[in-house]
Amino acid sequence: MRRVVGVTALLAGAVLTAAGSSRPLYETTRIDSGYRSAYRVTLWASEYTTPDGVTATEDAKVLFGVPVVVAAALLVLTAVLVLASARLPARVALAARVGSVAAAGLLVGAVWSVGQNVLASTETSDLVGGKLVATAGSGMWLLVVAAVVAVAGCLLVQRRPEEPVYQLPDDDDTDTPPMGIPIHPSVSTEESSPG
Amino acid sequence: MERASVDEGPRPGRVRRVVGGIALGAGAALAAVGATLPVFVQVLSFTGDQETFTMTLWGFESSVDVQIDDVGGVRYGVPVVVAAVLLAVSAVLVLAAPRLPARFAGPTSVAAIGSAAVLTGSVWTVGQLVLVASSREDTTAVTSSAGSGMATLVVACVVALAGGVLAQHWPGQASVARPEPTGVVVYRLPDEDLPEDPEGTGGGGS
Repeated sequence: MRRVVGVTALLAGAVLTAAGSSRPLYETTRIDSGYRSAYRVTLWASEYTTPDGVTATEDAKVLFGVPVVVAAALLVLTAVLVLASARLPARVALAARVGSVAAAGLLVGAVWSVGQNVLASTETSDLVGGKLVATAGSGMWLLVVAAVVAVAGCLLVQRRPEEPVYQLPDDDDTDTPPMGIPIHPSVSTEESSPG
Repeated sequence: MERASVDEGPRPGRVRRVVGGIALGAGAALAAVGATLPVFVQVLSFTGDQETFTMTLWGFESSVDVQIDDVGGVRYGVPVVVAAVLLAVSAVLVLAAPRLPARFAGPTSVAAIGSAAVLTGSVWTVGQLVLVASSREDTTAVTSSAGSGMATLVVACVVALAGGVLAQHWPGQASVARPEPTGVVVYRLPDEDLPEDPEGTGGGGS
């Protein structure tokens, strides 16, 4: 049950990451003399909306989305492997669990770094005759939730440590000597001597 | 029924654990050093005098006295330094594993690979930025290149990931000690105490 919930969380993390990668990370709105223009940035592109309502999109030069999408792909791959771990060799099953931690960690690192960028870009400042408002977008929040869910998933698919327990054989077998047959030298010497 | 204590396994597993712990520590040290070095360098020589702009994980610096406000506020170094601290903690836990309770084994393994992955994610993201900045076509007036910090951080990621993988308890190596034998103790007497009976029929005494 725990493993299934963990796999579901890993997959949910991947889906949320994919959804967040196409949504705005932050949005800057300029209100100037009654006109409103907006500038939105995603992991792959930037979008500018003029006061007339015309929107222009430009591909981003810096593709911050690459490590994020690779992490999402690894989350899906490891989720599938963990789900099938009962039919896989022990080393592959362990590699899947370790891989899920690596995928979640990769996502956390990438989202955190993107978040540092968004943090530095979101500030409100007053302009002459207007205002510049910058806020984190839904994409950033989706990525943060995705990272949290993925970390929870990778922890849930880990095996709980179990203390090894050894069951000794039944006491019936403990009487068998190393030679396989009972040998009592002192007794056999007396019995084998001719009377 | 008997419970046996967890052992660290045979020698190859022990060596791998120590190497993994050292690699995690080295990754942490390299990440800490890389966080202070320039990840991107741009040299401008428009007027004959050279002006050097360098980007570290904490902002931009210039050889001339100019204020760079628009891009100077991004602190990419925060996740890198946090990952380096986690790597250092993981290295200590991995190296001290034999003296720690068995319940620490799982969290230590997760922390080792997880902190290496966080570092990789952070450095990869910065690398995407440096890749674009340093791939601009050089002119006689402008030269752009990745800095020594970027190379140091990439090496730190590789070393840390290797350490994280080595620190895992891979199956195939015995991770549990053999139980001490218990039950009835049977002693075998030395051969010289046995009666001489070459035919095994017991008739040697006639």
